[in-house]
Amino acid sequence: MDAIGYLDDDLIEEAESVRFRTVEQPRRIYSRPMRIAALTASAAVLIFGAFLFPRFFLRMGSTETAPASAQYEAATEEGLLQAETTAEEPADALLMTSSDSAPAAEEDKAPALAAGPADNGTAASALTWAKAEDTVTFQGRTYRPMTEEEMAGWLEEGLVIPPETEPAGVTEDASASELADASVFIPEEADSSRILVEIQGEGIYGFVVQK
Amino acid sequence: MQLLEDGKIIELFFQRDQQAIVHTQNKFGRYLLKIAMNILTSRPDGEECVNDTYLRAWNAIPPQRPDALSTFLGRITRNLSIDRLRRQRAQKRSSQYARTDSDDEGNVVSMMGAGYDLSLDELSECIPSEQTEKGTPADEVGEALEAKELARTISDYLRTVTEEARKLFIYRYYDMESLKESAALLGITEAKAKTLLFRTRQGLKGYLEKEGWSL
Repeated sequence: MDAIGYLDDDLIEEAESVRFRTVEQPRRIYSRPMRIAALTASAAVLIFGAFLFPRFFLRMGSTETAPASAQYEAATEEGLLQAETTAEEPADALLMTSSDSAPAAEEDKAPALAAGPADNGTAASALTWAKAEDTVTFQGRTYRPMTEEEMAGWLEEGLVIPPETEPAGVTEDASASELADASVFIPEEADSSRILVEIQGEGIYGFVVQK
Repeated sequence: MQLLEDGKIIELFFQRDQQAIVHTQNKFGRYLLKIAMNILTSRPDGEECVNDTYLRAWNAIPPQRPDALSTFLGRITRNLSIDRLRRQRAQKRSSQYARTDSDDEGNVVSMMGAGYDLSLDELSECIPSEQTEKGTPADEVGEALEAKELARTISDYLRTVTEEARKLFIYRYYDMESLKESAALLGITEAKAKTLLFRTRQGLKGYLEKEGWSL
């Protein structure tokens, strides 16, 4: 036998794990260092925001939704955010629950998305993840995970983050690196055919509406 | 058919349930055939090696309980494929009436083991080449021990390089994937893969020389 055939098992395992990535593991769009940087930056933004906007973050935990205008009035007073449009009732949190239509299986328990800043200004709605089919349902539409090519293409086009969901410092047409620093997770498009979902502790995933 | 976890498949082996083979084939069949085809290029030969792999796994488990089935099975298939390739080449050399594959112009062409040869060619510049002549059984044992020692040193070196370089090395020289396929598995360009492999080989050569291995 040649020497290469005797290489340590853990080296072979590490390499072959790429081939056997299972459906249960969502495809990671960003590299590990970028994910760590994104999580660290998100935590920093949340902590920083909690000091600046305590009322806003206290409201995030409640089931009542505050008028978006009140939030932006407060932000404007602080002089940190320039609200260009008046949003409708923002979502306090997005919850991931097992879809009713998903097959009943222990493996299909979906993790909960962390509460984040308001979404596109639409009413609070639940994002459900049908794990078996590897799709998400949002606002009545079903989305499938993007391929890496689709995600790369979307980044090249320029992801557009709606102003209502921009933390300070993030501009429109954010590049991928700027997006990684933001805690926003649902950008808006004209037809909402593509959405971006951040799963706390997991990563950021692109989804495209399933035809 | 649902893909079972490795642990559950191994339990089926322990229960001597033949569904273990079915699930193994379902989960790893394509992967194992890929390894075999990278070395042998003949599909019937590759399939035979894969079937032999299942038989060997059935005989080995229990008592063995592999930590990772893919690694365990892949290694068996790789060894069987290389052994088969060597036997076929030895038969070709020794056969008085050996037929050779030739192209339209009568030039001898052989695709058998092309991937294996390419891989060895690249590695020959940095690691000691194996003996091709069969010696006594004692010689073979000695060679195997030496190969294991060399492999340990190569493994130590690979742990010093980046994860990307390490995986690329495994795909190219253990799985015998083509450069294109190895690059695709990592999501990098062929050019980058080629450069990365070259640097890894150069680094390995220096490391082995430092550890007392001579080419």
